[in-house]
Amino acid sequence: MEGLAASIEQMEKTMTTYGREIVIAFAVIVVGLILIKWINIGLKKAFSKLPISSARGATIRNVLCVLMLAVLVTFAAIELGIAAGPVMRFLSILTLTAIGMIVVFRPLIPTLPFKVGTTIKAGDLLGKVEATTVLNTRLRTFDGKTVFIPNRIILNDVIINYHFTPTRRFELKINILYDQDLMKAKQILETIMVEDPRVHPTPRPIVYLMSLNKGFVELSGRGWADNLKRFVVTRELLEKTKFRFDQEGIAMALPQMQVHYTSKNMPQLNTEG
Amino acid sequence: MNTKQAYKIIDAGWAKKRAGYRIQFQRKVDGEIVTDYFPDLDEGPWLSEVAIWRMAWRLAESRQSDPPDVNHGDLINVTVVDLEGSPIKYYAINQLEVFNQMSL
Repeated sequence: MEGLAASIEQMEKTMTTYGREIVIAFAVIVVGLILIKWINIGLKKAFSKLPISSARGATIRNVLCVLMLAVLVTFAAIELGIAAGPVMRFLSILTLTAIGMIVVFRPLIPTLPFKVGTTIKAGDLLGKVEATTVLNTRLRTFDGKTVFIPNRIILNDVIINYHFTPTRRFELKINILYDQDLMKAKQILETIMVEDPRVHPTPRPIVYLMSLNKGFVELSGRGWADNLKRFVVTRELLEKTKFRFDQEGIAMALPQMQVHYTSKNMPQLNTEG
Repeated sequence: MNTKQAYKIIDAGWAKKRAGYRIQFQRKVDGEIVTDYFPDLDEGPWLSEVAIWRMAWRLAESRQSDPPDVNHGDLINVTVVDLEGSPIKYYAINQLEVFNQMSL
């Protein structure tokens, strides 16, 4: 009981001596935090109108918030009667230590091989990364599903990141019958690729004869297009190829097999009704 | 002649790469037949030949005229042109094609 009374007395003394400063410092902290929150919201709105990525905008806002927080703590400490020098020194040491830790340990920290907004393929899932947290990655597939993938699976699996390179090769696989005009087919396929404005001029589109032993002549037209346009470009070029082959009288082939009978194994045809 | 020069000749003379496509059509504005384009000339052209022809067909189907009259809102002589304004062949038939064709 005496201990409690002593504590209360001590608190009274402290409040009498430093009460005003404590209240002001507390008010500075509260008002400062509210201001920082408002500024953060304002910056978020402003950044959304600027041509910078949301991830970079978030980084800049976080850095600014930390700096504003440091200034706020310094102000509050000064109001509390603590000399500004030691507070600044303490904050400087804290900042330098944090930066040092990040620089030293960053290479050792496993990082995800993509950023928010990147199109990736993780396992059988193809989609756009919407968000990443410490535990999982939120992926939006192109058919509208939202998939949460645990990061441990991503770190242990093969990931295709479609944003590392801006362009990608596409392939038009066309099969024609053996008796068709091969050179004409190659010329048509190459012309269709060269004419399209979305197909890059370099590396130049090229047509290969891939094989002759599958029951048809297998052609492969290859060119390069922007990653984001590749899917549509491939499909539209296939459509144009179909029409042009029809117009030029080049018969396309289905996968087929020729079976040769000898007189010994010739099947008996049932010619009766 | 080196490889670069040879390809320069090929690119200029055979299978020229197109820069883009526009739909050219005519319609009645204040009693006068005017030629217009989609996308507008101050906007970028479409790069997909398949998509622009499909769009041209949709536009033509949506605003068909009742020959020989051209009513307000009708879209006639709808075709696809390159950036120089020259009509291009419809890839589906390999011939020039004009939807809602009407001689004026």
